[in-house]
Amino acid sequence: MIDLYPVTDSQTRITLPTTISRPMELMVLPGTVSGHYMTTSYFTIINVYRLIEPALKALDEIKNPDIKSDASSLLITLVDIIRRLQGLNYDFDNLPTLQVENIEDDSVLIEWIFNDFRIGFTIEKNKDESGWYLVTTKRLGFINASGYFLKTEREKLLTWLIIFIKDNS
Amino acid sequence: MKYPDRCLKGILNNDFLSDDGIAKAHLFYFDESKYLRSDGWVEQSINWEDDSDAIGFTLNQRKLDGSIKFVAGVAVVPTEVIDWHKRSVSLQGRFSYERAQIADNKYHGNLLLIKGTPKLTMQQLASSLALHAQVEDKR
Repeated sequence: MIDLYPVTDSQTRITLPTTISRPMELMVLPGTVSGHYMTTSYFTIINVYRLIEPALKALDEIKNPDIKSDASSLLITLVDIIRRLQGLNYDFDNLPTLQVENIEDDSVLIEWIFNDFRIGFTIEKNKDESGWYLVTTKRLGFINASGYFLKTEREKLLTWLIIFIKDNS
Repeated sequence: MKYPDRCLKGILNNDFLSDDGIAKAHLFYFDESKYLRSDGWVEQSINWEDDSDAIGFTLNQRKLDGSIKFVAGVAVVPTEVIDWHKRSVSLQGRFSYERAQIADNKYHGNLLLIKGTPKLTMQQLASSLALHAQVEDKR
């Protein structure tokens, strides 16, 4: 198991949130400082965090700590699932970033916008009302699905949605 | 009553658009606290594209102080999409539309959502309308 400490263009070191346990080929890239080891996988992992960075930043505006925590937790779970699927050789390059669409005192809507579909996550003060939806264009069959988080296994649902994204984006 | 192929939703400002100029879901939110009518419908103003002047008219609508009302353009939604939602299982009897001409706007109408519709359902509908919307600004 290897801990990776990537170096960004600005030479800032960022510690990856977890270690990577799967086998990988290591190579030393020219220009890295202190001889840190990197892999091509490193860049993909950083790209995944790019997906939620703007949303996490937007969540800073939220004053309600419960909503902020729930929304952040959802975003981190999404990224964790994507990383796991990357480990199974799913390719998630070129996905758009998630957007925090609307912030109110008692709720927030996080939306993932694609050409032919949108996925939304609503985080409400009353957790019973927090949920998700998927809407598509006619090309994908006018799908119109939704549900409340309390009645679903969140991780299974998010995995299903991410695989839908992979297959249709 | 006959309806044209598309309806128009004025966009008040850029908060309703993504950085790429795409309509965000909350452009089409129904606000029960502000627009609930005595007949139980929550209304959302639109214009019907009855003729080729309708988009230009919408883009040039003015506020009381004379300034342009829809500074970020207009979102054009196919009536086919609205009809599809009207017939859908989750919205049947809950979602409708109407003409509602007013003195200075012959194109005016409303999208209508029944009072008490779950917020998640309203957001899902709004997101779908935004997904199908084409943003235009020919000023």
